[in-house]
Amino acid sequence: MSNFFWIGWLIAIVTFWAGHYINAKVRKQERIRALIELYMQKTQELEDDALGYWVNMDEKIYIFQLNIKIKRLSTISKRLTKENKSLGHPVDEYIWFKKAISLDCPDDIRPLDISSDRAKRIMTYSHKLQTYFEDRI
Amino acid sequence: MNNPTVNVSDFTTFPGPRYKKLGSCSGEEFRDNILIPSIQKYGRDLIVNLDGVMGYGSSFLEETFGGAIRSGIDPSVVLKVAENVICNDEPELKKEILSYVKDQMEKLKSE
Repeated sequence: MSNFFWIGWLIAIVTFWAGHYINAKVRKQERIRALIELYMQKTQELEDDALGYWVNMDEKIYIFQLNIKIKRLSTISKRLTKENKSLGHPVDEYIWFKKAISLDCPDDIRPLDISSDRAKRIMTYSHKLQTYFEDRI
Repeated sequence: MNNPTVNVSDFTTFPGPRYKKLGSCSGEEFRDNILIPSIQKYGRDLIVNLDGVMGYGSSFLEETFGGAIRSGIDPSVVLKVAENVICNDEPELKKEILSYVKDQMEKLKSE
């Protein structure tokens, strides 16, 4: 068989693998992007619920629901780290966000003013978490 | 040899508020009924497994670990127990718990 035959095969194989590699990379980027968008969406929902709990005295929101939603953020961040270790997770901001929502929450100190220190911290750390990932899309 | 382990999930899957008077499965209840007796029995070898629950409020964690120091447990023992917690479900918990333990140790020093 001629050299052209083998070169043809070689080109076909290389093209196949290059296509496969690029496709896998694109799919991975899409997964990461979807997870980041999910993280940002869940953070915003948590901020809204936390402010609903603290400021608006929303009776449909319980503190244990907020704790579950906080944990959900950690779960999403673990999936993100699995996809791309270099993305990391802003642990300090996460902890401060969590503390702002669930540290010392007896019923009798609600409702808080929207300009209270706690409400400001909830908004600030939610923003910081979202910005961290927004910059990485 | 396996270290003695306390599973929070055996206590509750929904950790509650800080104090008993605020609701069931509180940090105070876990600390007084489970953590402190276990520390008194096993000392710094004790492992606290935080996995398998639906999420922790910060008050629960502070009252459990910071509160253990306030209840008279040797801070160095609580620090060791905090360093050894298992928290694969929410890895950020270890840093948060350590912050409460270290804050309480600082407060003790300044008193």
